[in-house]
Amino acid sequence: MKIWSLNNIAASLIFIMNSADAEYAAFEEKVRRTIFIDNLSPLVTEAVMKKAFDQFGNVTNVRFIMNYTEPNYVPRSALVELENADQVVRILLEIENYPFMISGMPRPVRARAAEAVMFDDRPRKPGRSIHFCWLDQQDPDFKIAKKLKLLTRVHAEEASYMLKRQIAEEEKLAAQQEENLKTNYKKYELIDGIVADGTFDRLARCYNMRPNITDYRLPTSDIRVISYVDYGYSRSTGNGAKVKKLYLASWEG
Amino acid sequence: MGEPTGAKDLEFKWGKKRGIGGVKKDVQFYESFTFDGDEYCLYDCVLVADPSEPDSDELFIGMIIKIWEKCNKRAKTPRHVKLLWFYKPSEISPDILEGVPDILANELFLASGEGLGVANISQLDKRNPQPTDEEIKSANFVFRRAFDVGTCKVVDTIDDKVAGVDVQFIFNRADSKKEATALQKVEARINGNLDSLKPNGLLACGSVRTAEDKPIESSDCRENSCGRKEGKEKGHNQLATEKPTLAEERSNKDSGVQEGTGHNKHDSREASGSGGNHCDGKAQESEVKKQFTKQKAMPAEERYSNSCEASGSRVNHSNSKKAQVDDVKKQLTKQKSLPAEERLSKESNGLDDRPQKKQKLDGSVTVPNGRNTNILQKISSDGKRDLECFKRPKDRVPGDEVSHEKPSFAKKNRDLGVSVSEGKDAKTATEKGLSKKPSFDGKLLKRAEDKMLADDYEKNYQVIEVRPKPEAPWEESVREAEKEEKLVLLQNLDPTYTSDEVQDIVYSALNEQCTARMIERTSYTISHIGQALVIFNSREAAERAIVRLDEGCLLLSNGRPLVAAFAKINPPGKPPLFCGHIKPHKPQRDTMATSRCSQPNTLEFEMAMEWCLHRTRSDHTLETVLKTETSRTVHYYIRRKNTSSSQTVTEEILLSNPPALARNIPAYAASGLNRTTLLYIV
Repeated sequence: MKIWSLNNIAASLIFIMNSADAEYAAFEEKVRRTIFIDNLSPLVTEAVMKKAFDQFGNVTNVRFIMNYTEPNYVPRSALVELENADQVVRILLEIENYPFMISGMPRPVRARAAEAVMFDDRPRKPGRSIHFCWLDQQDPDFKIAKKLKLLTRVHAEEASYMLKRQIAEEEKLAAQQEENLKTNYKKYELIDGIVADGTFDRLARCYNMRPNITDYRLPTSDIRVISYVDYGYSRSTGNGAKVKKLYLASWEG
Repeated sequence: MGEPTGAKDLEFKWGKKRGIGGVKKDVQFYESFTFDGDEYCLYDCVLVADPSEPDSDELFIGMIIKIWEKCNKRAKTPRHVKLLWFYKPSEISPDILEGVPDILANELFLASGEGLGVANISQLDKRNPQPTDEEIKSANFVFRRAFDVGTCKVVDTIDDKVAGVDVQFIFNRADSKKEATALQKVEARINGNLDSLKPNGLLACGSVRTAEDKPIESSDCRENSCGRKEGKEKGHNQLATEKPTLAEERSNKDSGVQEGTGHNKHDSREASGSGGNHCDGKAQESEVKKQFTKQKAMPAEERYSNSCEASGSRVNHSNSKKAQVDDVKKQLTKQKSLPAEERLSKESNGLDDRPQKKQKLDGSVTVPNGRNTNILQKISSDGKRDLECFKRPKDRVPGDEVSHEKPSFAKKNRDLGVSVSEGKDAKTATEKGLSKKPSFDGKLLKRAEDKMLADDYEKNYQVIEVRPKPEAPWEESVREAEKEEKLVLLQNLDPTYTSDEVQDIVYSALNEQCTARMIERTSYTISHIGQALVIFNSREAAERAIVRLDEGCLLLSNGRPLVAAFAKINPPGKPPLFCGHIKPHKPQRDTMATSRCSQPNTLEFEMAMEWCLHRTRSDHTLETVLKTETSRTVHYYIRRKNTSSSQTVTEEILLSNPPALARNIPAYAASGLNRTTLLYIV
């Protein structure tokens, strides 16, 4: 009889362990299927995310990581759960190669493979036990521990300072880019102007060049590549086909 | 007694929109529609005539489970409803019914299973109505079993889904009470309670009733129905005067019924019976109130309609049926002279005392008692014009015998438009048409507390599944806790700890109950410092914990002392604008919202590259800072190491407090060692 009951206990223990193991294994699998997206604009919604990543694979779940303790100007981040791990690899590669923009440009998002610590509802790792001890005040370690505690606070402060600086730099970069864009826009308007009033053609004839202007736009881009100007020196100059390409772009306003 | 109305001028109006569906998103779903002045809502029960047999008096009972309109202009019949059928015993072949225990005459079988005959789609075509005016006598039905059209069997259990509809909608809609139309729901609820009594009453008086019915039936069923009416009026008067008695009486009846019925039904009946009992006192009050209000305002003849409001059980209580046959007859004559509508309203029952044409499905009380689900449903219909013709696949139902028990229909009293459908009690009145609407007329007077009380009572006596306590969203609790100053930020945890583990640590080390959640790692959190937000039970507890952790040192398995402080969290609200996204000069089109990879030949790409560069740079800086931080930490350890003779950083700590650690928590050595070594050797 005793053996029986022991067996039963053992069986139920095994069952409990197995279910915990299974839960953790399922969680790990989920982590592998998930991609961590950072540098998101606060305007991004779940639907936008879903749509964005449905281009690459099947999104099964999107969840934004709430930011309670960090300053509220840090960009948002989110976990995007996909159907399988292959899609994660593909998306990571894709976003690595081509800057991927969600809900605005030109700042791209950053994608990384998710880690278990990015989930606040992660299950307990089976078989782990945690230990603690209160240090005795007489213990020489006590002082060290005190210092370590102080250090932790210092680190936190440092990190937040770093963050502030980083954000300031980002703002600088953003301002600079906007400035550049304006300049570019002006440049384009100038060129557009001279093409429109015929000055461009006149000059081309005058210098015996054959300009080739194509106006096209990228299907999905906010920035319109307005003109693709090909300065082909004429044969008469004898310099061969020296081609200079000029990319013009305009923020479509 | 038809009073045909021109088909064209029948009013039609859609109700509340529900959603859009269909392959091409061209189907608009609705929650209700108004047809010829009557509102039809989802999950209302309706009586439907068979358009292929216009002469047939038989009506089918169905429940509206879907209402939609095709937006496609070319669709000939854009408006549709989908009906889920209820089968009367007369519509099911007797062979199938053989062996099915105690079928009530007014019992209905819910169509279920797979196959033809579960649900049908009918066109809601206003050009196609058969506008026979009809008076529908109130009919009480009960359904508690389903008829599987696939296997042609009567089944005692009802699946969770029938024709794609959750049975919850088919049963009483108890959980919809939260919705905006609260008052309406209150009503439905209380109606439901009252109605639940009905079957009891019916059962209790079943034999008496049949006995009474016989003579009347043979001569003229009109008498019977009028008797009912009269009885109702009586009941009503009684109600006004002797409310308490009535309630008492009713409960007596209920218990009698319970005793008399089979064992298997006992439980659920009891539940519903008692549930009903307790609220009907209340309901009555409000009803009576209502009636009084109504009566004052109404012409004398219409009073009849008021009096009809009594529910089935009440009807049964008035034992004067026979004695008043003469009076009844007089009334009948009077009734005849009344315009159809009023007459209809006279027929109304189940609290629907509105004189307008209305048909109503009262909520029923469901007692989800395991398999023994007992659904009591009452369909009370008022007079109604034929809405439209719904097609019903009755012919296709295998074994279906339409003609079975038809004679009862033949007895229909045309004058009254009332037919005694099967023997006893259930009178399905019917001409061809049907309709209905949940009633919430005068009952809006009903006060909310009535409902609350009724609810409570009901809950007290019903078997209710235990559900997990709803948890407030974390964000809300965190904000609340911050306000109450019991939110604490723990730092220096092992980042791999889970929220549960943090709770356990707080419990074991600080002996406090708390709710904790780890802060997820993002690019902006310090990767080697695990942080958690902890909500303590009170401000005092939080303070205690902070002081203890501040004065003492709680060393965790990772070799780091725990740090605690009151947490400050970001205020809710809109975050500041995100830098790096250029504001469009004009409101942008959808392209703004589209997400895509940028192509290498655009300015956008170049700008994006600048961001990538910036990102790499800041990543690098962060890394460097972390490295310095870590090395500083290590420095402390190393200094410590130099002053002692031990070899590794972590051993140092362990050895410095050997008795406690080594003896009491042996595993500490192993886990602490590995972990710290790993951390600081980096």
